[in-house]
Amino acid sequence: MTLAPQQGRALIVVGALASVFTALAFRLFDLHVLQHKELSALAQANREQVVHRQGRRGSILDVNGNLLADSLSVRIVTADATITAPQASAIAEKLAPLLGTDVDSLTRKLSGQSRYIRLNPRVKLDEDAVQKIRAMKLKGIYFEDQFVRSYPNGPLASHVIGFVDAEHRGVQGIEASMEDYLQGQAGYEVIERDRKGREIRALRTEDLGPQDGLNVVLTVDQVIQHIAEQELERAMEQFKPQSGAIIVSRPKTGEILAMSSRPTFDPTEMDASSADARRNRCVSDVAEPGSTFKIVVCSGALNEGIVTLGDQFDCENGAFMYAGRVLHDAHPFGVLSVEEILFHSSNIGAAKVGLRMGPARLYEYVRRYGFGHKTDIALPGEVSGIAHPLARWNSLSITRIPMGHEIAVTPLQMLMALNTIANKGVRMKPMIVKSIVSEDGVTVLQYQPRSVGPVISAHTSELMTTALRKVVGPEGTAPKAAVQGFDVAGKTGTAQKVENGQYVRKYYSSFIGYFPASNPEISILVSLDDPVGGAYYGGSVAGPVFRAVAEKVAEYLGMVPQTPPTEVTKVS
Amino acid sequence: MNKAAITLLTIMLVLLTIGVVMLFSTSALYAKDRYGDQHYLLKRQLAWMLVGAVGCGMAASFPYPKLRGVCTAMLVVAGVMLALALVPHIGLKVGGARRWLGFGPMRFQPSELGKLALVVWLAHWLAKEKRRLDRFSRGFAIPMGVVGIMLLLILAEPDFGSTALMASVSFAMMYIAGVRLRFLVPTILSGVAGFATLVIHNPTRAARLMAFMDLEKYKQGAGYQVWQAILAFGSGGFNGLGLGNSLQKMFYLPEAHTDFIFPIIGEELGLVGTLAILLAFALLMVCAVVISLRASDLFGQYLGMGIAVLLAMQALINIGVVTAWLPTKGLPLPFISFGGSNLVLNMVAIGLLLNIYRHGSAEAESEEQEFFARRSSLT
Repeated sequence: MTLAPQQGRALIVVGALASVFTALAFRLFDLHVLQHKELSALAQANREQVVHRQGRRGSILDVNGNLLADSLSVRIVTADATITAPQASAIAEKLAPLLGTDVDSLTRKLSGQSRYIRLNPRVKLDEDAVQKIRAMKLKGIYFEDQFVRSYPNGPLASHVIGFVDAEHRGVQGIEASMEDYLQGQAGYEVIERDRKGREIRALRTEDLGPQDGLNVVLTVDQVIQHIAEQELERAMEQFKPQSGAIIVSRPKTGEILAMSSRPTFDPTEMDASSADARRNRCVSDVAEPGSTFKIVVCSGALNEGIVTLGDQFDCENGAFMYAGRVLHDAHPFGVLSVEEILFHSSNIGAAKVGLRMGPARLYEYVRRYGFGHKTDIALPGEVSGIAHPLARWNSLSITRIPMGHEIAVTPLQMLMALNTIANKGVRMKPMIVKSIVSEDGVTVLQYQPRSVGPVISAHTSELMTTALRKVVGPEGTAPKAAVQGFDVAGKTGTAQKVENGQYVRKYYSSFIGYFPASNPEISILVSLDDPVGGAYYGGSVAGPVFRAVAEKVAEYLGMVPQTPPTEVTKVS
Repeated sequence: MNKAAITLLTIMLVLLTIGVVMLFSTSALYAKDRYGDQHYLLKRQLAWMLVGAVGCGMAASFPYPKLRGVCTAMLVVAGVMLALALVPHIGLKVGGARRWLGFGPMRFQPSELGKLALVVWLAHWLAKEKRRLDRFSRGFAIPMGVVGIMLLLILAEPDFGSTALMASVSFAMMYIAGVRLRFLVPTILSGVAGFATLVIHNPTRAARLMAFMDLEKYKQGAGYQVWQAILAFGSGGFNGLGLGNSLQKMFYLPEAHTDFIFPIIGEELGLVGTLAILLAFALLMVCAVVISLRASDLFGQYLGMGIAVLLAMQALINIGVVTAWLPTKGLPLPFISFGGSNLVLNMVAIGLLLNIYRHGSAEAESEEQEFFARRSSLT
């Protein structure tokens, strides 16, 4: 068949088009087969979204089940910026007034790249605003239920409870130390969405429900905590110290009933607090304890049989020359028995007991009481304090350590040492978490009081109690710490503070005590760092605070006064 | 009927069938979302198909050389309608372009009529002036002028896609008919240059062009639609996700039922589906050419080849666009995309091919002689 010229040209055109068809066939092969993996993964990534679902963070409860920290469910608004970006400013203008944010920052958020932005992480939305936003039917704007941490008592026990960060992770206090129990298990879903953001339910590939966290029950009693806080606040106002601490505990178990620090903070208004105020002074701050530490040297010497309560020591009328340095007493004393050294709080007497004991044995008791080691209470930020090893002792150390210098302890360590004496010589580990309980009330974990071991004998402990009872007597250093109706055994401390290597005229005043002395139920530590306004002796500054706390705690716990008033005793 | 005609008709019916099925698959969600009735678009398309079937039958029934008598008038009518579409309040403006005339509930694109009218008129002119085609005025200036006016009217809508399509079909027809390449080539080159200038000065087209050059970069912007189309092809793989299982049609790929229906076919039916459709269009073109080669008169040959090129180019441009080989233009995939005017045009075009097959031998020759006899008697 011969072709006319136009037919030949027609075939050229057809041939050209046919080659384009062929080329497109290769292009389709390229897209469908060669790029299949890559492109289908991109398409899926386009639709796919991992939705995290938070489990409810466990609550923190006091010993009686009162809420100290709680998780409340609130509605939050989220956005997919890849959808909102084209109309970012228009959406922002509509939402800003309802979310209580400014238009500019909202526009910036909405025009980003992120597929998941929380628009009101801090602001609580009322149902009215939620309905209004829902009615706008904005593309790329979603609602989500989220939990926010709530602290119903505000600043009460804030140092113990701690707080959480924006991601709901515990940062301080029990929130941090019990994080593993509190946090629960976050769940997630892998879902695919159509372009309007609606889930394609048939394609949900993974769906792992969240698990709620467990509740933490503390040994802390909200009422006793309140008493401690109130009295500490009062003392802060009266004496204006730089800082203060009160701990209330049960000597027999080591349970902490209250733990309070000043300065303090309110976990519901974190922005208003300084890092300094957030520090739990009871476990994180150390100080030279001063005379309260005499319980260590005296109980040690008694326990070793080196001295008896009646052994006499010459207190040198207030000035004792040793190793080239003169050691002073606040008031000059002549010859004192060991018992008198304790209740008069003679530095020279304590030093001489220490000298008789010798460095090795003194150090042994310093360590046995737990100084220089963390108590391992379930609170973060605890420090071990400073108890120099023997190798670092100088010739003066043997006279200074007995009176609570050249050693640094936390308030908690000091109270736990006293508790050892109150608890028949057996040292208990401090306990602040009582149990871990699931949301439906099942106790998952019950903590038990744990002893660290005997430090002194029960007999020595009785001797010490006898001596320490006199501290609050008319001859003792702290008659103002005496509690009506209860025998109190205690010890004052007034440590001169060191600044830049020099002792200055600033004092660390404290009182530690327990009652009833014969069967100790409660022990309390009160410490005030640098009280101003003249009074600085532990007996006159911390003593009355101790009494105020003790009286209220005894009343609250319904403790029966065991000793009739002194006058009645005399008559009978 | 011989093989070419049967194949042609079969392919059209197959493509129409695939079109209906895929249109429903693609548009059901969109129609439900937009009009509250998942069959909304399907019903309209079926109605247009009925109109197209009548048009196809009519186009196949009368001796096609009769068209030569009315083709100039047809072209004038098409030109006037195109001009009317540009007039505010008469033409309908949709998405920034005046491409439509409204008749009650039906909308109609005069450019589709213009395409067919231009092909018929060109075939007529080129056949009539076959001995003078090497001359500048009769062989080039006059047909080029007519084509140019039509192109400008379509370009003014603006409809860059249809303009490019019509330009290529016209040039192909003129080349086939023997218009001198020394006239054609410079025109094509300057046309391309002018077109490029226009595109660069039109922000929408320029953005599309940029997106075409660097799809990855503009995949969230101007290149979004094409990017989603590419993802759809890739997702489909060899066998596809299965009919109805497209995920890209869930509003990721806009206009999935019109110009971008092919990627959804690719996603649901895979390489098997897309290659089959590509092959169908290639076969359609071959059948059209075979039929037109058989035509005994030049008008029939030119008309048939013009239609062959028109159908093939539409398919090639559409598929080129959705596979990111061409910058985006609004051209539908013949017989498959949603859209009434284009469907009717293409079905009428098939009707004309069948007509050429039926009347292509002796009858045509006599008609031609008759026509010229009438003309000479008039002069």
